Amino acid sequence: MAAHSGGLTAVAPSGSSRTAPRTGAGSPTVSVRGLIRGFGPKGVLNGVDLDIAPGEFVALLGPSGCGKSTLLRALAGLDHDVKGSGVINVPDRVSVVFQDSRLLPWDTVLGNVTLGLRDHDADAKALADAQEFYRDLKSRTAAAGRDPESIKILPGIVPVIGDTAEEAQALERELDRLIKPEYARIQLAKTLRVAPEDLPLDRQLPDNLPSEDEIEGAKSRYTLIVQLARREKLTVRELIGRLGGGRGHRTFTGTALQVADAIQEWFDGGAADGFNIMPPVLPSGLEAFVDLVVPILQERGLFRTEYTGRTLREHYGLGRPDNRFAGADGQALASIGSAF
Amino acid sequence: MSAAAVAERTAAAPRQGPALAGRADVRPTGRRLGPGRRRRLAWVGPSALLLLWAAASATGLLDPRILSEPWTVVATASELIADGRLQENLAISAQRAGLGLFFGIVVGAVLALLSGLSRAGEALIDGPVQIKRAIPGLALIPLLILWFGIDETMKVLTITLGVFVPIYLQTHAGLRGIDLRYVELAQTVGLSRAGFIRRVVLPGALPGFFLGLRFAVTGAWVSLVVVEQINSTSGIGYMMELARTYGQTNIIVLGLAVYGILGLLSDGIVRFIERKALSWQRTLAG
Repeated sequence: MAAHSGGLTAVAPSGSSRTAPRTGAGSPTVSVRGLIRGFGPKGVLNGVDLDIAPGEFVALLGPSGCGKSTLLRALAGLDHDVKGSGVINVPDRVSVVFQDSRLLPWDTVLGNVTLGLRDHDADAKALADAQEFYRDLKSRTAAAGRDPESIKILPGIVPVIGDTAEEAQALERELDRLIKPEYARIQLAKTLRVAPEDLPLDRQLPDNLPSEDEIEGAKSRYTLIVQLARREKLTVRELIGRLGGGRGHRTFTGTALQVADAIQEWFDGGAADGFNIMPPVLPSGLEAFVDLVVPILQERGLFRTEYTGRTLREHYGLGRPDNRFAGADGQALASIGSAF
Repeated sequence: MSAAAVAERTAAAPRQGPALAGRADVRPTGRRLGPGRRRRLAWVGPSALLLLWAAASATGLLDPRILSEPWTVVATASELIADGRLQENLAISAQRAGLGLFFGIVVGAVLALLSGLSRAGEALIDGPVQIKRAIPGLALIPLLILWFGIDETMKVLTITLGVFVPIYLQTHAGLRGIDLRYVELAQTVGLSRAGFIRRVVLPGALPGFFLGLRFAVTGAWVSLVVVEQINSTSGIGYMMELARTYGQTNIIVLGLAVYGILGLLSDGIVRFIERKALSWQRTLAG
């Protein structure tokens, strides 16, 4: 931290009691080296060094005009027009709360609070898509005269779990690096029902893909993958990269707590009745999920601590459907037998 | 635009029980400095003008040879409507003005966006538009006749050239006048370029665009007179030009009145749309 009474001019003396404790052993989230910014002949920031560790809370104190805003604007990348030098490393996504209100006067309240959300928040988009799918399927089930509860929606998720968020992200990158494009292309070709040779790695998907009706099996995943590729004009290689190890299943990357939070958000948010856990690596991935995430879910009352039934149907809480062939059991069996 | 959708919702009157309806409404009276609530009084000025004209004609202050009496003009109008000449010419004039206005708006708005959003666009577009602005539309007509002949293309093009300049200038000024704070906001929430244009640039430039549109709409009628009086065989301007040849002042005045009414009406329509689309603006206009 570089905030001291003289303004933002130098590194805090080493061993200073103000140095915040480092949470997590990883490298700093924000690092600034030799930052110089000035307006006109007068320098405002004269060689600021600053490190902020993950989770660290830093307050900048100083009199008016000492460069607090200049530093923050530099961190947010909003000072293209200001002369200066130095090295700034910040995360890809930086959130800024401005001093003055910056509401778009022509937009609605909803438009203002969701500004930029759909454009870059892939997680929110995925959740919204899942909620839409869930609502659609359940309402169609009800419209067909069936109990919506009799159909369970269990999306597959790939939990990539680490002790820290950075560790989990590093693990995901490492796993992604292990994907061989040639192998993934064969997998993709199977899903899309085309020959692997028809999917050149550096071309977009061919135009003459089969329609969803021709797909027997994972119809919605087929549509999801094709729509993703078409919407973002991805080449096959990029598409493979985006699908990652989950091959189109949602990847939850983070600490056990973050993965549990994401699961709860999807469950409580009406996007899923449960999940198919698809660990990226066996057995370590499954062990991490069972040992770290399941206890959190149990603590929150989201997951059972003991089995109450013996069959998969009972585990899902599904009722035994009535035999749809009227009459006694024997007759029903007989009619099935004659049909074969 | 979402603001427009909101504006269409009619405001509900506050719910009041019948027992409350008769209660007194006493408020602290503060001095107000603005012009006050908007009232539907747009007709007052033009009516006063009409009244003055009628009075001057009736008292003989205004010689009918200088300016026809209002009632003569009305009589002429009903004659021309009866034999179909007025509406025929009006329809043709309206079509020309409408087409010219449409193309002018599209060209002006697109050029303003290109030049407002990129420095390269500005370098390429802004200079030529300023040059066009300095050249009187009338002076271009001989060239346009040489290039495009004397048919409709040339007339619509002349109107387009007159219309796109104010649209361009005002939209460009409105766009460049967007507060940098909103641009920073768009950057920090990670809006894409398309999202930035849709959510910030277009609504932010809309006030300028509407100002340009008001100039453009009346400008379209003005250019129309010019093209119809110089070379044409139909339209209000032609009708007036013919009347000039035969010394029929009453038809000339009728043509002027029609142009005036059309200008006033179209300006009123633009202002109405502007009020609805820019309902988020809290200004003295009210």
